Amino acid sequence: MKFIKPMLLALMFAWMPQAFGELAIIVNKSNADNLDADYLQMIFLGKAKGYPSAGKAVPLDLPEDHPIRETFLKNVARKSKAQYTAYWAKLMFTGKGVPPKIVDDEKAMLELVSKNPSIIGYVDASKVTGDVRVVAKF
Amino acid sequence: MTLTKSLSIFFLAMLAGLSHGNDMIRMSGYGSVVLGQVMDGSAYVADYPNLGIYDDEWDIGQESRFGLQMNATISDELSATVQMVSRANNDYEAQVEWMFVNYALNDDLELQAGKLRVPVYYYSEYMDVGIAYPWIRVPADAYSLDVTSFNGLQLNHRMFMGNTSFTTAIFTGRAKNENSELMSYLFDNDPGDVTGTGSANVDRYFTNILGVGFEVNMDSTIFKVSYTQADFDETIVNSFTAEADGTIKFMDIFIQQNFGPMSVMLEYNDYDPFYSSYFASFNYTLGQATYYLMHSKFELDATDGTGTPFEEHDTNALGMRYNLSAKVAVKADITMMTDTGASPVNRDPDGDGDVTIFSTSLDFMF
Repeated sequence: MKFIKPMLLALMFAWMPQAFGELAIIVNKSNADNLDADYLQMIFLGKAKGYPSAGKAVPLDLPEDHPIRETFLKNVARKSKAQYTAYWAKLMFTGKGVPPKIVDDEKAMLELVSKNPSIIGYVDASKVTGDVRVVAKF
Repeated sequence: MTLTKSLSIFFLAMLAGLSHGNDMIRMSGYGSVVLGQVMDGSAYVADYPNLGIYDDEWDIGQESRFGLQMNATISDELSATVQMVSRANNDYEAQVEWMFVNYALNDDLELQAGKLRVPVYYYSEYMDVGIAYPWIRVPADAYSLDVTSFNGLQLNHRMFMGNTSFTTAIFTGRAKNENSELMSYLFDNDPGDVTGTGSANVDRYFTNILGVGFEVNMDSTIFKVSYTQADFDETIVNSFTAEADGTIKFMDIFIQQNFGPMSVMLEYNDYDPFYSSYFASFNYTLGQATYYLMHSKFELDATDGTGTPFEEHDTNALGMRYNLSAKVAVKADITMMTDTGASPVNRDPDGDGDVTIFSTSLDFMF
């Protein structure tokens, strides 16, 4: 009986159209690489450890409940929230990888990206400043 | 054992000390609270390696467990990890499940040294992490190996071609399972006693372990195969004493294919000279819910005079997982086991160990 309600909720969510803000993937201004969707996915899933030309890639994440994160998971990680968590749980608890560090908010994200040429992150496209370079929009 | 434990507690404490204001240290954890009860039949072995057995009274103390992990990045190449697990059926006593250093030789190649999981099954390395799979438990029939960890070295090679990853692992070392809980239980003189403490003592030693695993992970297809061999030495002390030694060979193959919201998983293993087992699972995800239908079978090679295996059973499970959030899930499951050999619970030879069990769990990570 307990599970009837979640089941109905699950059905509702499956059919509900959802609207998201536009997502901007940002890197340091010194980073001139062009990154396509597949490569971005590899960076954020820890599969690619560096940029195509040179240098280490350090992806950052936003808090779980951040409104733009849903767009990020759908378009960049291409995993549902639960799949993304399970993916990292598998790597983390078997010593094979650590998930991207989570920064507090978009302001912190912009600041870190603008200061460190290795870092790659994402923000709502409306929050982008001149201190960073946008490599992709979704 | 005590030394290992003291060392790891020291190690954890040291890491905890270091972690103060140091972002190179990560602490994470996971847990599962599992409640189960036999609805029909006598008892059900839900977890063979750790001997989790349910009877006809609801029980939260068979499969519930908590894991705590600390990972320290020492340099770009070197990291150290320790994972402690407390199991309800072991009085929540914390035990070191993993303790190793990881050295990256280059971007694709890393060497791990220490206490590691024997990576023979697809889910070997995270079978305790309930949040990472759909079922309440990894299929018990197919995940029954009594030894889950080894001390040694593992070389991992990971390569990516587009979205496809190729992982090869080569591992070597040794494992011991002194007073093996599972084997001592199975060889007990008083088999009807489901509390599992009995008269038998079984020690098992695996030396010269040498194994290789290969995994291909594509967007919607996962394939893994592994082969492991080792020198094996076993002593059973009961009203009789029996010794056995020889070479064991373990072969496992896993495949998963996703079809949109549906997925099919198949895993088969052959443990020479002891048994073979498999599972097949059909999963369907709808929003935050995943429904599964699982079938598994265990068959011991040794047979009685009529050719019937001493232990043989197959299981059908129907269940559901619902994600409350990305890091918390609840699950419910009905499992029916059909016993066609000597029952693992009471050793009765005429296959009367049929059992139906209901379980529910809360799985989380942090």
